[in-house]
Amino acid sequence: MNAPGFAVRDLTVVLGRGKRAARVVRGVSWSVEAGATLGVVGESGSGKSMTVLASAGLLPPPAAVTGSALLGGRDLLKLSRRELEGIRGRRLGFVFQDPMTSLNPLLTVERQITEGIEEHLGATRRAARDSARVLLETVGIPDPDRRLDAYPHQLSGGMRQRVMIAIALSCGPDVLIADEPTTALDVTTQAQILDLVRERQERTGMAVVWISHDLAVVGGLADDVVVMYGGQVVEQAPVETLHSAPAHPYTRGLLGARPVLGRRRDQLTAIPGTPPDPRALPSGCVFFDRCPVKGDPRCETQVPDLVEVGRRHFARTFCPEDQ
Amino acid sequence: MRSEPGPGTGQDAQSVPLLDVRNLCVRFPGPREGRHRSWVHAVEDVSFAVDRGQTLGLVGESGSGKSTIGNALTRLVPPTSGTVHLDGQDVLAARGAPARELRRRIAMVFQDPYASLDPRRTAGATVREPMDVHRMLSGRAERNRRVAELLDLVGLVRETAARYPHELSGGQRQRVSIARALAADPDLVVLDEATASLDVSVQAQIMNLLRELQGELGLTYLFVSHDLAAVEHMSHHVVVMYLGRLMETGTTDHLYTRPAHPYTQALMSAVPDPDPATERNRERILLGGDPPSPLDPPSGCVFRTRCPLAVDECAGPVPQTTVSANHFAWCIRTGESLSPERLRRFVH
Repeated sequence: MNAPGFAVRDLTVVLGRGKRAARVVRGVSWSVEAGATLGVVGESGSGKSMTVLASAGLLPPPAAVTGSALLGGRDLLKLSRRELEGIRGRRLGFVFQDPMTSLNPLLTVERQITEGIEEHLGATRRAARDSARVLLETVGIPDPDRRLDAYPHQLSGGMRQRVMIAIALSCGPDVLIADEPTTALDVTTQAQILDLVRERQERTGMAVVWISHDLAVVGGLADDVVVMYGGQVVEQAPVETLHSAPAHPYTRGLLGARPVLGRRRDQLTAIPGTPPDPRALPSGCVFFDRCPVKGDPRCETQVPDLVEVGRRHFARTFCPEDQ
Repeated sequence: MRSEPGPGTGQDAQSVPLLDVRNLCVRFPGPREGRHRSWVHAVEDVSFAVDRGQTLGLVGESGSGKSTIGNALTRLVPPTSGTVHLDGQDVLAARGAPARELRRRIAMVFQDPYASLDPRRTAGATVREPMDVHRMLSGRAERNRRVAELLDLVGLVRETAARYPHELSGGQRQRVSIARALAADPDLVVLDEATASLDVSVQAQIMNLLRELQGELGLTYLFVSHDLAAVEHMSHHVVVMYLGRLMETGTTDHLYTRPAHPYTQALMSAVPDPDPATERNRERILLGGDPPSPLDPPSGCVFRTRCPLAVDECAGPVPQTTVSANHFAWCIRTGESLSPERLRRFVH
């Protein structure tokens, strides 16, 4: 097996202290190899975004982060601020959900792309502008010369997200971390972005971590999928396995809750209730309150381990469904 | 322009549809350049109808005008021209008491229950407000009793009446919005992206609730959404819009199994399939570029600048073509557009 492109090990994030402390990420581990894509799926509050923000040192100090985040044999959580700055943008590229809030409204597109190229790769201004133009072309922005001088507000949502991707790709990162990058976009634009990332990955062999609330979006993109709930990984499997033989009742619930185009059903199988409050987590299985199975006396009192239920398939439940 | 009966009027031509929208146009003033003022054509010549007890899905991407239509029906924005009839009565021409009565009969649920509920008002007061406004039932005690019934109906415990929005989850808040919408006993409920901001598991709860309520109360819905799968799940008839114009209308079964307009086809093919095996092997139509500006829409068919099947004639008038009974497409190439060989040239 190759050395993993990026891995988090036993990552924990606690926000606040004492009684109000929220354990938003609880012992999360996953890894993604070079050239592969990991899908991280979960609802709001599942801890999926917190995991990657913490792993890159992007959470401000009140957040207590433990565990490790390994990139090329180095633990990012042990690096100094300056060392981290040399890695973020250079070896780790980020794309977030809302390009309007992650782009600087006062800088031109050119400046936002060239900043990293000049800083990390030591390129001259002119060389950086040339690279920026090429990047805009690769991400499918027509008339790149004109767009280089545009400000974010002059671009459509889809184009802004493509600029974000151009910035993330500008230094040829080893790992691209994409946090709900298509959620705010129209479905036809989403299809363009998915295609673009797939194609870039094939060419450069970068590892991709794709975070989404939608299992369908990661279906065509990911090799492996991690399902998060209440700050924990509740299931992990190759994408085909997860779809054909989901083991955790929550994963099964997620798959049944979403209407699927062309496969009409009378009723959606809704999951009752709402996700748990990270300040008041249950003592047993984190999904217990909403679980339709509750098939084991330990469910209410004991936190299940993430156990192997099939080939490369893990689930954190006392009641894995039949394979 | 012809105003053919839209979808939903069904085979029974004599029956009056609950909602009948004809040639609706909504334009907003755009930037002024010298003496010339440009206009945003948010909705252009849109006609459709919905029968009582049915759901019409209004689907499109951002800028398609789908939300503007919902807002025009409830008179949140003034239509530029066209007519809207509810149960045969002219909604836009009504003034005074009849207008208030018509307004009572059309309710609305918005996308974001965080923004559409008053943070300083309890859920009970929020649900009671439409009854207060329309002076329904005699006295507060009776209205409060009705509030408890409504909370029950939407699956909330009665104690929710004393809670403020910040004490409720997103799903509970949306249930409060639905209870408020039902308080004035409406005939038509406009659901504007009513499930879009909710988590997947909660979306299913709300969609199931809406369908149950429809069966129980005989409600008519206008389900406005960008989510094609949700629209398919909820609707009897569907209207597909792009840049303020009708692209295609039909019964849900027809339109989803045999989409005739190239835009509808592209839209459907862009929706990822959750089954990775299907997703990796299917052919997809990838549209290039972005929708044009509504300030300066293309002549003729507004989709032609991105359409894989566009020809010169598409810049001319766009006819309404019949695909099958109750299934129409606004495209000169309807019928030929489906040929697989032809499409294969554009698939990705």
